[in-house]
Amino acid sequence: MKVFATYSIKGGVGKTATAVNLSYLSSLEGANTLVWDLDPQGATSFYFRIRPKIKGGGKRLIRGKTELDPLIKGSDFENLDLLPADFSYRNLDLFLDHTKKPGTRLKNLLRPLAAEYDVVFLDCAPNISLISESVFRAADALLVPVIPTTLSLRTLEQLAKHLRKHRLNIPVLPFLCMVDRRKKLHREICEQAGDSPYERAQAVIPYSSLVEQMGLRRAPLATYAHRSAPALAYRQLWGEARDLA
Amino acid sequence: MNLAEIAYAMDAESLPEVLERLGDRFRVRREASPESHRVYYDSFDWRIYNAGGRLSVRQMEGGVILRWEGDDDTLRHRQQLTAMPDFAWDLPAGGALRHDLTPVLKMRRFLPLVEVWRRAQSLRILDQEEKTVARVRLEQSFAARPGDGNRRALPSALLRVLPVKGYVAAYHRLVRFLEDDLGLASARQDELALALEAVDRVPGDYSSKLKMPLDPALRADEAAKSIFRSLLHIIEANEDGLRQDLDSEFLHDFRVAGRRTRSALSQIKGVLPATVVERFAAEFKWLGGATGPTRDLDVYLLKIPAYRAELPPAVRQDLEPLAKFLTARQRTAHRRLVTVLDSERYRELIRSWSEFLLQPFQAGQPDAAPPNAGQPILEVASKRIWKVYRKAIEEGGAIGPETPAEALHDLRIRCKKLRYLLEFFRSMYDEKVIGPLIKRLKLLQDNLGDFNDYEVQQDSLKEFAHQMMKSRKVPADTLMAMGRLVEHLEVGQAKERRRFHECFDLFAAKDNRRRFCQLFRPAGKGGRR
Repeated sequence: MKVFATYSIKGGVGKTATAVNLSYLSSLEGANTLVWDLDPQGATSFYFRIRPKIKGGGKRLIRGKTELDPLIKGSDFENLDLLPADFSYRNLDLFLDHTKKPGTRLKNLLRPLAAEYDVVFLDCAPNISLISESVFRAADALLVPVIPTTLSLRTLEQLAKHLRKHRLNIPVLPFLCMVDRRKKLHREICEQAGDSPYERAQAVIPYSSLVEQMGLRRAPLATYAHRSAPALAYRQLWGEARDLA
Repeated sequence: MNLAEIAYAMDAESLPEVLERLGDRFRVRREASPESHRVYYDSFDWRIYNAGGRLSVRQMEGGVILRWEGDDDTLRHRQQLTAMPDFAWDLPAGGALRHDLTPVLKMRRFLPLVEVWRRAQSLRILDQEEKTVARVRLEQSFAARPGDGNRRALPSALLRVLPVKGYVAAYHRLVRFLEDDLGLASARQDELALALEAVDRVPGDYSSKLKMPLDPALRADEAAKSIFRSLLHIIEANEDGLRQDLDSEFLHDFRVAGRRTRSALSQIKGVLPATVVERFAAEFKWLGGATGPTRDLDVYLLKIPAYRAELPPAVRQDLEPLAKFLTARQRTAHRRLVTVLDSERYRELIRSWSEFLLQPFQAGQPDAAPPNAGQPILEVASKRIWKVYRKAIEEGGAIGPETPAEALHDLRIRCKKLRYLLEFFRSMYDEKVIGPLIKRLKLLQDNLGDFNDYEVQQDSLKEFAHQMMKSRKVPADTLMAMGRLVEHLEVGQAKERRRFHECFDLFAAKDNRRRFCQLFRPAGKGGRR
């Protein structure tokens, strides 16, 4: 079972679109794929048309009082399932704090699913916290969308520092997202490699209203625009990410 | 916890009406499903089917997906692979599928049984978010023998309910509508069985076991002929797979049927004309000799993984030159075997034996008939079995801890004759008595067989070593590794020798003797039931 985490310290950088689109591509290859929407805003669940509610709430889940499997819902697509978000996830850090070994909690919760799922995507809320720490320990690779601004690139530094400090040796794949080639700054950042602690993906996801439409259509991009530029970019990205884990 | 798929059988003509009524009751969206194609696989002798399994394979982009389902529609395993494996050992190491499939399939090859095409219309049942909460698929399936373009329709169309994980209430609502409102009845759909029916094949139509029930009152010569016909059928059935060297067991079953034929010819005495017996005993002996070398090499190639496992990990690869040597030899031997099958002598043997066996019984020739031909088979069989049993008891009883190996080999051969007889005539006797009796004999045979096999392996390894030295440079390390194996075999052989007495004692025990007496002892010596 390969576990990918879509992670970003900032919000609004295309994390959710990434989780939905890459997990869909994974399922198309025949791999049994699960997305766990860990963001209390429940955007990923919304895109999949699944109500952001889990029985017993996040507290029982993190405490290990509920098993994951009965909470999982099938998406509209073959081989693709979702563990929905719940509003109580806003307190996940609190719940984790009260458990033993919070760092490995997610990993342990995921372990029994290995028999059924080939690929798991953890879609994290944007922050650095106990929950993200648990995600880092559970994940086999981090996919980090980065919008092409200097501030964004700085957050990569912060991430690298944080991972080093906690001796977390997972592969990190940053990729440029929401790129608008009409903007000079975007073009420049795309061209230069810069002082990044990690090698960027070759794939670059362009800003596109087609991607924004995902919120209206509530479906993965490839189901309605699979030959568009952003769809091709996501395919390229998945090709690069898939072998990381 | 997963909701179960349910299948409902129905007429193809009712499909449009059902679609309409579903559309009236639920929020639905229709979509065409692409035609799916799958191939069912099994070994030549239906091992997976007999274990209650159904193995199907679908092509996907970049590979295949194997599904192993139970005959009750449960999914036991699902695995994605880059290519269709030929054997269980081609499956990814350490995987659950390989772990569960290997004891069932063993060394037999996956062979395609039947191809199935499913044409379907899909219906999505939606909730208020327009999320699919259940799916319904209406299917018409077609089957064909592998490579045969001629597709036949399966007997009925199907309505399948495909639950969406986690949507329990919607599932139950749908099922209630289909069963209560539309009156559909769910049926276990064994797609493989239906597909085979559509292409006129019967599951389990080949088995290497003799299963013919014999009428105890039947004339001995007719009974013997029916046994010979079953054995001939097995021989002929294996020819194709044998020619193509699909797996080692085609030759094995072929040879065992030939051996049983020879044994029956010599053990079922005075039932067929002496000239017939003499002629065909000689021809089957020739056939056994001509096919022997290939079988020996097959056996050693199958042993290689076990040999490797016996050696310390550091020296395992030293055995590779031996594996290469044996593989090359096997290929040559197999080519020679094919020329034997193509030979006039072989074709004539099969033709004339077949002709003889199909000759109807000609009454009215009492003088020419062999002495036991007209006796009821039960008499002839029991008498012979009793005689061979008594000899086995005598020979085995004379073996002490110091008796030379020769005596055990003789007993092994005696026991083999007894076993073949018991298997030929099993159906005529009370299974509750003959079953345990054969089990005890098998225990003894395993011991004698292993003891002999250890010795044969030692001799063979030494012979291979000599041959390898003659033909090309063989690494010293390989000879050393083979030497180690020989030593292990010596130890194994001694162990089996010590176990002989406990195995024979079980065979000769009072309770077993009673079984033999009950079934086979001739009347006048205590009577037979």
